[in-house]
Formats: sequence, C-alpha cells, structure tokens
Amino acid sequence: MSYTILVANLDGFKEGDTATVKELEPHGIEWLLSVGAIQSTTTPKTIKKDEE
Amino acid sequence: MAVYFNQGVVFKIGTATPSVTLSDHVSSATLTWKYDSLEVTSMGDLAHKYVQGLQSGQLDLEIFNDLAATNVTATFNSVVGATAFCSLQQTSAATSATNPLYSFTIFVDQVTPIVGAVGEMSTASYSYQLNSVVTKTEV
Repeated sequence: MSYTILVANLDGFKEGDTATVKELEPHGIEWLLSVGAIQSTTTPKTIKKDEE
Repeated sequence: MAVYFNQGVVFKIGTATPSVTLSDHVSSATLTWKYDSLEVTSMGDLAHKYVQGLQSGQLDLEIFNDLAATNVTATFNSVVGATAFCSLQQTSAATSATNPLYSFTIFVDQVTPIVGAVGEMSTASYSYQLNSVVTKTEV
C-alpha cells in the first residue's frame, strides 16, 4: 500500500510524492491522514475480458 | 563573535516525530529550558551551594493560524490534549555545532484556532510546558 503526499511541509517529502507505509510509519500514518497530509493511493481494478 | 539577524528559525511539530514544518507561519519562537537548583549548603560553607535538579522548560510561539491541510490550525487542533514532538533550529542549514537542533516534546494543553479582532491577522500565542528533556544534536 502506498500514499500520495498532499502537502509541501511534510518533512522529507515533496508534494505529489508517493510514499510507502514503511516510509510514513515513523510520522504516524493515522495522524497524517487526519490532518490531510496524505491520501491512500488506490490501484484501479484491472477488468479482464471475460468479466466485461 | 557571531551575532545574527533572527529570521530563519525552523519549527517542526508532529505526533510521533517533528514531521510538519510550520516555520513560515511562526513570527516568534522562544525555547527556554532550565534545571531546578537544589541547595546543598552545609555547615562550614561561606556561600550557598547548589546542584542540578530536574529539568523543565517552556516553548513560546506566536503563530499565524492557517486552515489549510497540515497547517497551523489543523495541526494544533489534532494534538491538543496530548504530547507533541517538536524541534527548533536557528537556521535551515545543516545541523552542526554552530547550528544545533533542539528536540523535545510539549504537552499541548491549549489551542486558539479563532482569535483576533476585525482587520487583524489571526495570530495564536502559545506557551507550552516541555514534556521531556531537551536533546541538543550537533551532528
């Protein structure tokens, strides 16, 4: 799972960066989500031909 | 002697580490720490004598409120009633003996998300007790 950095003032990251759980854990992921610093990067589901 | 123009202090805060930089909203920052002086004066001494006791300290901030994500208002609202990790440094240059990094925690017992009269900047004045010793890093 990864997260997109939404702000420019998060130490060690730039706005728009993608960060892993391991990279963000020291900062407290729940807190970063609560203050709007990051958002989960969801992977679009791949639709197979036989599902169409 | 190297006196300096006080313009570049770096202030960071977070719940687990000092994660969020709010320096560009801080108009004044003062970190003070001290030790209790425990008196050990005894018979025969000609002056009072003291030894070091417990450390205590205070962080004073004047900071402009900002409602943006991960900015002043959201950050302080998220840590009120809890311990926050902070750091202060005189400049953004590399940490060194001449630009030490001060790390500590504070107990955030108050926030002022709404303050000021019409036509004034919304500026919060905070005074927090340190909740740990101050760690001075020079490398």
